[in-house]
Amino acid sequence: MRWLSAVLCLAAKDVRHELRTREALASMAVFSLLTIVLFHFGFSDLGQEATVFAPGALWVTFTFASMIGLARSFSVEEINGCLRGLLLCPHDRSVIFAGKMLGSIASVGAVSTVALVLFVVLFNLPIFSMLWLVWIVMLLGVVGVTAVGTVFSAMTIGTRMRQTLLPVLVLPIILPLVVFGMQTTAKIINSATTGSAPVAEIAGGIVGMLLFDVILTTAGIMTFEHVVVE
Amino acid sequence: MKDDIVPRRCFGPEIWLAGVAMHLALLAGLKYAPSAISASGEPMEFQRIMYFHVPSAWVAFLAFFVTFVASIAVLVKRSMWWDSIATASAEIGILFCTMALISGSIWGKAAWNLWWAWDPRLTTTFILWLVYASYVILRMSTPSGERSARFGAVYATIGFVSVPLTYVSVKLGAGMHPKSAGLEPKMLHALLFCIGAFTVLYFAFLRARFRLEQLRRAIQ
Repeated sequence: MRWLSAVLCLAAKDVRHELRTREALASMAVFSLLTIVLFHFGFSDLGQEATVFAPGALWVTFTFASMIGLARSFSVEEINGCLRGLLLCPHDRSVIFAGKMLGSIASVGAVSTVALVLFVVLFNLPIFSMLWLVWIVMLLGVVGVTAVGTVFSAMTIGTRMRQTLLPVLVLPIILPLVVFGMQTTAKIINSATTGSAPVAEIAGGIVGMLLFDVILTTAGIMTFEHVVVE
Repeated sequence: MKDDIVPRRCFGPEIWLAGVAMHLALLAGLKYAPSAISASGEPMEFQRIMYFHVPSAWVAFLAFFVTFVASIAVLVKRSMWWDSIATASAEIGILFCTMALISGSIWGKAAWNLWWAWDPRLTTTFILWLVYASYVILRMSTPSGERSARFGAVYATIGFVSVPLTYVSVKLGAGMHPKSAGLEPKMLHALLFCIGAFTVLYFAFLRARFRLEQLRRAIQ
């Protein structure tokens, strides 16, 4: 109980901070919009069918946008020695990990949701009936990406290259999750457009992503204490 | 294990063994092993690249596994000795992984008429390469010391865990990479000998690179 309230307290602090400054939210949202514009000129303007490139474009947008949010997750704690203050709290290190992860899930999840809706509208994707399912798959992606990203965000503030390094570190690790997410999203979009839903395959994809999330989050909790030792 | 132990010589006796074994491996792959015969009965000399490709891939996986084990030892024991092993092995692993990818690509051009195919094994190896390339970049950009060792160890551990996941996620497509079944005995001998020779070479490299790392640590 005490663990959970501390985690929620830390996550609420991050959400409050984000709502007041809106720095990460704004840059993530604008970045997503710019990516959508680029995908328009790169694919749909060149005659590609939106339903074909949408899964890939969606996940690329969300993955890269989340890097912006994750990079800020720990760099804001560097100011005025906030990280030291956090570490001095009489709590387990896993509290910091879970709280930070939850805060990132909130901001990255919010932006991804907006990006998803804009995607559907701007590319006229006929998937309104299945939108909730795409959203769930996307949130499962957000969980895995933030689990890995939280550990590496704490790590990169201690390197010379700082946050520049974050995507380089995170992307190879989350690749299986993103690939799985793209495949599942493609199946959902395909079933929404053709009308025949391969329920077992989609369910399998979602279970697989859940499994990835559990593994990545466990790895994150287990290794995080080694990252913030000072 | 004492952390600041530095081997006296760059190369131990295993470099001589590796030197001899690698020459014999050349003979084994090019002379001893018979030519592979295609379905239409023509000899396929390009198949001999296997005696270079498979051992390279094996050493790459071995090296990355050693990095993984050494990284866990760093996290558990806080030992810089193990960190030198992890760093050294990761770099050698990248070298051999690169050789496996390039030799595989040359073979692919001859066999499939494709430089590259997004086959599960190829993709996983490529991503493995990317993970450890990121590991080396991380080590380069972290001021060396205890913290760098911890960061590297965390990354290598999570990275190694992600490899089987990558394999599972890309395996949904059908694979075209050849399986090892059905090798002639002489070919198998040659292949096993080459794998052994490359493994000895790996340990010779590991000692040299480990010594370099320990020396670097000693003068800092």
